Amino acid sequence: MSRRYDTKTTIFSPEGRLYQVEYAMEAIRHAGSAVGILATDGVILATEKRVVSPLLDQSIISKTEISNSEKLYKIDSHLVCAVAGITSDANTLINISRMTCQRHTYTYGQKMPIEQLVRRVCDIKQGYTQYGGLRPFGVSFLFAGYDKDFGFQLYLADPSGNYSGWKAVAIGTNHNSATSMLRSEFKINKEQTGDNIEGTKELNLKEATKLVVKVLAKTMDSTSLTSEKLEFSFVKKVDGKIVTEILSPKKVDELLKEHKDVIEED
Amino acid sequence: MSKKLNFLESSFCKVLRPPQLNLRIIKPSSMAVFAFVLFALFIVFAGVIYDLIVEPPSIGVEYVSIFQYNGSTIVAMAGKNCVAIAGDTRFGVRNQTVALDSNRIFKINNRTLFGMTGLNTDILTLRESFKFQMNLYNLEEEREISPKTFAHNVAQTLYSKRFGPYFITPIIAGLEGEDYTPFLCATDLIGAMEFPKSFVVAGTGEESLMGVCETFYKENMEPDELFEVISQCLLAAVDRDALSGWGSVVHVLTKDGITTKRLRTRKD
Repeated sequence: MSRRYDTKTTIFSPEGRLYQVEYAMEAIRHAGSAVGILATDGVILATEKRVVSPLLDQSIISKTEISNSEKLYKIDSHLVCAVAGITSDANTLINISRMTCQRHTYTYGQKMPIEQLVRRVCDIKQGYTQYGGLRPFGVSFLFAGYDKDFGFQLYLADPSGNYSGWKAVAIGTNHNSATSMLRSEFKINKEQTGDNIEGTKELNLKEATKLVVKVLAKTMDSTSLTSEKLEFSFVKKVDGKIVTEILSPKKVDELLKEHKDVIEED
Repeated sequence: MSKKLNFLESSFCKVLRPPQLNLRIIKPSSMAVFAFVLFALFIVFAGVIYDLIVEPPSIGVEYVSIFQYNGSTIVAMAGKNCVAIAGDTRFGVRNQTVALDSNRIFKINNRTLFGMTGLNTDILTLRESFKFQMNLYNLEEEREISPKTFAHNVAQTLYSKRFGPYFITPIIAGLEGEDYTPFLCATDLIGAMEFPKSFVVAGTGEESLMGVCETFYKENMEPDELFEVISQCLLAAVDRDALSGWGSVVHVLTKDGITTKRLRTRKD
């Protein structure tokens, strides 16, 4: 029945749904997972690699500083993003984001505010769901960054062009179980706040990292957590300056060793 | 009736006198008129009136070219596995000095320094433009740009404005490659590159600089000696140039990093 209404983005179905956009979101659900947590002193993003093969040429990592990231990209010196979905679609949007940030800096002499960048990317994505006759981008982004007006922020931008700010979010495979785990960790009971309202915990970056590792350990398909399968990235303040770092495989291994008690809990 | 007039005549007219206009009715000859018109046209078309109106004779001229509107001087020298680049810090508008701390030499990365002389607004705009391009380069290539590549980028950016150029003279100084070979490059305002091995000068004080650098430069100088030589050369030149001076800054780039020192020049 939906066959008639799903071949074009420019048609609504009788139930008022845009099938192409929904199918795009479906593409994300089968992609490698990505988790992001907003802490009081930083943001952490972690992703699970999909293309892991010994035949991949990794020699360039040892020679230079180039990061081997499959799903994490630096947009500017204060902004990093994680990708879930079709990588080539993501590359186009990442190029656009990078240019947008530089153009803002050229015009205004300051770093682009995070929400403005996210809105710009989402407006482009929305355009592809309404006119042009082109298919939507099959990518969801997790944008993590810092600006001086609103501090550390974490946003999720999905293929429909919607975005929202999150304290913790998971996308990709097994995102339901990851999200429920995050929710239970963040929830503070009514008794504890003493306010009779349910609140959310405030984590610092170290606790957030621990939580991310725990969530990934539970929700990932593979048994072992190594730098082969995982990537991490931080946005934090070091000596008063904002630093965005996509961890090299060596540093990922160190981090996983540090938190291995959490992994081996179960 | 005549009695009344007689009265007027007798009292007022005796005091008031009509002026003595010894008017002669001039009737010039046609040749004379022709000569007069010809002379008038001559002084108009020959530009005498134009010159008197546009540029009244004065002592000296405000500026001859747009490069003298702000005025600045920069010099770069190569030593042994090191380069130094020095420049003045005056920001002026014609003969009026406005600021003493305008920076014309910018760090592109740990291996490359980039200085510009000429029109200050173009210097500032191009600084932002190159920051833009370098940020994108770093994000996409995930490495730092080499000085030679950056020099080509500068030349291309300047040539893209071939028929409405930026009025600057850029100098690129850096250390190229694994063995940190000194690299110097200067281009003109539309991107004609030149790669000298010894030193390069630019700005309103370039003529004095050329002479003094030629005298004091020698090859394979160590960083300390290079700093001394380039400082003395710059000071000698800016002290002689009306449009440069009011403070100077010297950067020495070696493989261990960049050392920056400020020197006192004549404050005039």
